[in-house]
Amino acid sequence: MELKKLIELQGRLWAGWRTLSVVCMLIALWQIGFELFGTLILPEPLAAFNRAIIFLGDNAGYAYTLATLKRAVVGFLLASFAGIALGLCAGWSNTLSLLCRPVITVSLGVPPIAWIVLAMLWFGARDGTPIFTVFIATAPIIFAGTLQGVRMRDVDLDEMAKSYRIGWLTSFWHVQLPQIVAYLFPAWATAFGVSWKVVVMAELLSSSVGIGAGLSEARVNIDSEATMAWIAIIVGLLLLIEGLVLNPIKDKVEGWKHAA
Amino acid sequence: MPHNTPLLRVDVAEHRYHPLKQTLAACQFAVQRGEIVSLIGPSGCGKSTLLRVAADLIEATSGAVVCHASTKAVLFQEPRLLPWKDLLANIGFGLKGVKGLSPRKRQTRSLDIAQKLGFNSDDYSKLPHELSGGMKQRAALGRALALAPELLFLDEPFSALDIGRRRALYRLLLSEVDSQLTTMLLITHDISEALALSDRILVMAPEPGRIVKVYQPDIPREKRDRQAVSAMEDDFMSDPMMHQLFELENWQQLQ
Repeated sequence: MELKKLIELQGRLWAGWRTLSVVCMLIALWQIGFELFGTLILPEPLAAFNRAIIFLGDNAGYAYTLATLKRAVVGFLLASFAGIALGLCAGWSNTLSLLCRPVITVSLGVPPIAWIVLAMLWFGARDGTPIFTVFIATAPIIFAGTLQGVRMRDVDLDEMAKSYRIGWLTSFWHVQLPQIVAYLFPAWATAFGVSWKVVVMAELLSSSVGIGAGLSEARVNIDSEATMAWIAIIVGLLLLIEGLVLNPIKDKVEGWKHAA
Repeated sequence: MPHNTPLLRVDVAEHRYHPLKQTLAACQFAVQRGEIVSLIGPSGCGKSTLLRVAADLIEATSGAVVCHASTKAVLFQEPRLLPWKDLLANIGFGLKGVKGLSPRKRQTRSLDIAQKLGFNSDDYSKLPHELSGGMKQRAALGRALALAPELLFLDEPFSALDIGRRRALYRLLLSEVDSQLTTMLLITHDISEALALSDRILVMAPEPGRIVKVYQPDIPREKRDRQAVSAMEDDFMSDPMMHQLFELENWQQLQ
C-alpha cells in the first residue's frame, strides 16, 4: 500500500516536471522570437512576466483576473449542471438520444463569436454576456460527453446488478456513474479549456472589466508587453487549475482504467 | 408450501426479441428443490435466453415463471466484476441488494467467502484487472455464493477456463451446493460435464428454441465416476436425434 502511494507521488512529480520543462521550452522559443523580431512583435519574456506580476499585484489587475475567473467558473458550472442533467436524461432514452444528435451538431456548429453578438444584445455589457457565452459554448460538449458515457456503458453490468436486485440508486451510483464519469471527464476538461478561451473573447468585445478588457486596452495602446503579460496570466491559471484540480480528479475517477 | 411444489416453474409460450423472429417456442419445465438441472444444445439455440427468462432478467413475450426461491443468483459466462472495485467489494456487491444488511456485516460475509474460496489476503484489495481469468470467475462465484442463494443460475460460467481450473471451481461449487441444498439450473456445452453434474438434462433444439428431450441418468449423482459418466455418454449420444442436433454423423470417428 505504502509502495503504491510512493509510486503515485513519483508519477505526479514526474508529470509536473514534464509540464514545467515544456513550458520552459516554449518560453525559450519566445525569447528567440523576441531576439529575432524585436519588441513590437514579441516583447521580452522577462519584461512580460514582470508586467504580469505588476498586474496581479495591482488592485485593478487583480480585480480583472478575479472577474474573468468568476465568469468562466460560473458559466462552466452552470453548463456542467445543465449538460450532465440533460445528457443523463437523453442517454437513458433511445428516442431522446436520437433526437439530440442534430441538436448537438447545430449547437456546436454555431461559432462562439455569433453567440457573443446575441448575448450582447440580450445582456448588454454586464456579467451576463461572458457567462452566457461560456455556458452556451461548453454545455453541448458536456452534454455530448455525458450522453456518450450513458450510451457506451456496459449493459452486461446493468444486468448483473439487476440479477442481484440492486436498487436503482445504488446501481446508478456504483455501476453506471463510474463508467459515465470516465467518458465525461475528457469532455469536461476540454470544455474547461474552451470556457477560458471564450470568456476572454466575450470580455474583449463586451466588457470593461476582466482579462479580455485588459487585452482590449493593450490593443488600443499597441502594448505588446501587456498583451503577452495577460496571456501569461491566462495560461498560468489554466495550468495551475489543470495541475491542482483537474488532474487529481482525473486520477481518482479514471485510476481503474490504467491497467497495470 | 407443500414439499412437492417445484421451486421454479417455467412456462414459456414464446419469446421474441424481434417481432418477426421467434427466439423461443413453447418451453415448459420445473425444477425441484435441491435438484441440479442442465440445459444443453447447439450454439444459438436459445439456452441463454431461456435461462434469462427463468432468472427473471427478461420477461418472455408470452408465458409465466413462478419462482418460490427467496434468494437467487446468476453466474454469467463472463465474470462481470466491477472494474473500479477491489476484490472484496466485488464479492460483497451482490449483498447490497439484501435489505437491512449493514456494511459491516457485508464486509464480514465477503471476507468469509473470500477465505473459503482460497483467496490470499494480498488479493483482497486488488482490482479485477490485476486478477487472472480463473480468479475473476472465482470472485464472481464468491459474489453469488455470498448470498447463500436458494436457486443458482449458471450460464456456462467456467467455459473459458482450462479443464483443471474448471473442475476445481465445479468442485468448490458443488461442495457449497450440497451443504446448502442449493438448487441449480445450468447451461453447459460440455455433455460429459452435464452428465456428471446433473439430476436431469434438458436438450434444446434451435430455430425456434425448444426443449426436445429430457434425459434422466439412472445412477444417482454421488455414485457417478468417470467410467459411469462415459457409459452414460455413450447411451446419451446413441440417440440419432442427438447426432442430428449437434451435426455429429459418425461421431465415433474423429476423421
